[in-house]
Amino acid sequence: MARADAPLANPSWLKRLGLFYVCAILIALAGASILFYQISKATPTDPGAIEIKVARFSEQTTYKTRPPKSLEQALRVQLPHRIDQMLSTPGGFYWYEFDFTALPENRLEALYIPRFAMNAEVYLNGQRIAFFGPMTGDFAERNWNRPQIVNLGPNLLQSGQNTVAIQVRAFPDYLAGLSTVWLGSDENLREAYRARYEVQVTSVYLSTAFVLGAGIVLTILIGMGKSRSGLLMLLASTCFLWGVRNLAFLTTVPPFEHGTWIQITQGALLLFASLMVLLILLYCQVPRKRLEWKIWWIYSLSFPVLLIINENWALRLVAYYGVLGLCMYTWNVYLLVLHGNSKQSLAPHAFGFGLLCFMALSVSDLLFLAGILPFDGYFLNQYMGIAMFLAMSYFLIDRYSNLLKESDRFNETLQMRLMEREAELAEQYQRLQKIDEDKVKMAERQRLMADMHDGLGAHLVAAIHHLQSSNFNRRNTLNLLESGLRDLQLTIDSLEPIEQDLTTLLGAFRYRIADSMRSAGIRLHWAIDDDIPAIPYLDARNCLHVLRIVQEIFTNILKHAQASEVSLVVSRGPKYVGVQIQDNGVGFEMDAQHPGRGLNNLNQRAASLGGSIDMSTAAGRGTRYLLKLPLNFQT
Amino acid sequence: MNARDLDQFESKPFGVILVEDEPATLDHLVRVIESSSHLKLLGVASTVQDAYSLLFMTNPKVALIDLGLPDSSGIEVIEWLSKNKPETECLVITAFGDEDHVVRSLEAGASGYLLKDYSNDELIEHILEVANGGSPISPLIARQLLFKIQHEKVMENHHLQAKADLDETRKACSITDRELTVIQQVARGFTAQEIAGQMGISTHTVATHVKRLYKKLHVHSRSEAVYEATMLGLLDL
Repeated sequence: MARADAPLANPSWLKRLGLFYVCAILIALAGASILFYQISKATPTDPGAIEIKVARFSEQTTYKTRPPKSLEQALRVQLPHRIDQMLSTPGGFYWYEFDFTALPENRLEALYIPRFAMNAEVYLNGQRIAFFGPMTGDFAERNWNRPQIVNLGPNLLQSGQNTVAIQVRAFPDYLAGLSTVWLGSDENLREAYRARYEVQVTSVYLSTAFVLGAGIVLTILIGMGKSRSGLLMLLASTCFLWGVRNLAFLTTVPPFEHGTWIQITQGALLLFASLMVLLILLYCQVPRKRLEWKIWWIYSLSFPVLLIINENWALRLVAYYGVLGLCMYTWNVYLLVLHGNSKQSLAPHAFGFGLLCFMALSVSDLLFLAGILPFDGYFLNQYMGIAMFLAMSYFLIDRYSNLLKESDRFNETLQMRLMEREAELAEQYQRLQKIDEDKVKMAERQRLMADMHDGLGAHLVAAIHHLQSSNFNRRNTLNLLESGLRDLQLTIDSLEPIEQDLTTLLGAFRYRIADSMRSAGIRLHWAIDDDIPAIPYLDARNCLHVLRIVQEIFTNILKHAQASEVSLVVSRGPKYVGVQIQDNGVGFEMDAQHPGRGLNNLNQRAASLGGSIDMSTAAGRGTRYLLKLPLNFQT
Repeated sequence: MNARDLDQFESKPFGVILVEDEPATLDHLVRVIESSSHLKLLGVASTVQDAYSLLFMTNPKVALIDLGLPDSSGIEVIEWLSKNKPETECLVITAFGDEDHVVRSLEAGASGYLLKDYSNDELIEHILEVANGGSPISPLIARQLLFKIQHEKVMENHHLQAKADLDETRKACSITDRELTVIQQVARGFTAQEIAGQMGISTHTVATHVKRLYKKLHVHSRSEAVYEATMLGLLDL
């Protein structure tokens, strides 16, 4: 467990804690005042009502149907009266008798008995006027927590001296006795009776309903799989056990005979206490090796054994184990407070406070059970059902809101991780793309270098060699340099973004050669069909192929053809675009076996474009080249 | 664009300045310009600052400007000229006519470009063509302009939401069908004469169309800058 004082430094937490305890104490005080108000109403207020505090008392071992004669001379006892050795008697019948004088102005119409244990008969002037539960047999009607009101009956009531005798059946090892009784007007006594009934019975119904309701909600939550927490299951069990235990208060006609029934109900109470402690030990995450656990094990294992050994020990067990339970609870409250402080959470404090109230009420109940508090008092810890319900609701709400917060946080982290992952992927994608780009760039660079090496480089080298040779002439050197420059221009033009437009490529070429054509006195006819489509594979590399093909053809024309007119026609065929270049020059005889190195070059270039080049010529008839570029060639 | 018949040009030579930092090119161009009776070299500059000083004292018809100058880009000079001396035509000197530089120069207000490897005749021809209000254009540049126009058409829809003040400039920027036909044909390699023949107009009109396109490109690039500045809240219209 974390040290409690460190988090206490947080002022906002202290504020919350203070506020919580103020609220909790206010609620407890409000509950207590309602209770005491209700209890105060349970005493008849009519000044004419008579409280009987002294009665003649006699013990009988057998059931009698009339008050025994010896009762008239019997010793007087103070009411409320409990048999001191009540937890060791084998049972029997206690007679209480008292006299009263009925005057007409007194309006003594009814008898109000706040408490008796547990079955009884009422006699007026020797005649039985009421009975509560069977007086013989094993079965007990559980009237010990029920106030009763008895109408005295005008026929039996004599003016002047009257005698009331009450025969109470005592069960072995169980509460037995009689509270003070009241005589008075029917309506006044009934008012008190109703107030007492509300305190002792109705409120227990309510308390039980609350707790069972909480238990059902918890069970549904667990059943729906919304929470797999063992703590919640324990909590649900304690709720149900508390409900079973309250049956001891509520059921007057139990489904089992007396001994079994108290085994069940008191066993439930003991089990409830055990589970509460277990719950708190788990909740506070007390390490398994600690003493608390050993004590709990001893407690939890011993009471069922004792309970089974003798069914009549139930009440005594409750008394002894109640004391032990109280000790454990005290320690538990301390644990809860520490836990709440270390977690800076109010839920353990709520638990602890609830437990504290429960303990206070239980102390009162134990004192009552031990006979220290008067027999006409009240069992109070039954009201803890309401407090438990409140604490549990708080616990659930707190837990639920924590779960919500957690799921929000979880969503946030998920979102963040998703974003991180996305960013990572994007980065990876970019890296891959960059690698691809670099590859493409590298390939392009190598191609450019090769092109320049083969084109410009070759021309420059040739020019240098020519200049170094003994028989160089100016004209040739100039030609070499010029064609080197032209090749460089072609290379640059091929890099222009023409978007697969063959006509622009050829147009650019025409622009380059216009001057030389003009100088050579050659007229250039330019004809381009309107519907020349884009040629998809016309990238820089292929542009250069086209340019070099055309360049070579035009160089040939300029050098050898002696033409005066050249025509270039671009037209569209079904599967290819044709570029036809025709001159009206001298032409030459084709040597079929040796087509010449120049034409070979042209063919190779055309082939690498997926196309072909045809040449037809004859001496004196000019030359015609036809370059066919396919429309759907995949490079 | 070929304008061979130089005889039609006025006899008074055109004033030319040269902004170039590379000595070899500078020498070459100086020699070429001085060799022509139609051109008169008013001065040379090798930095942007020099160019401003030079322009303070002279009023050239044509300015030949290299883009890569030691202190700044020649684009700056072009912008300054198109704003302060709109009657001066700018020609960008470039090694290979790479379209990116050229289009940016056109947007800044240049009328065309000179390739360093032009023959002497070609150089003079180009300068004179520009001086006479022509606008040389190559297929690659035309292609680039076409691409820009198509791109603008898409952008137009976005611009519809812009402020009403910008409508005027946008209208002034919109390209006519004839202009579009002209650059489409230029992009396919046809010469000005051929296009003139196809469209039944004079070569001069073809040149005018190109020139107008250049201006629109320039205006458009400026209005776009204004538009973007407005959007960014830099300008309060």
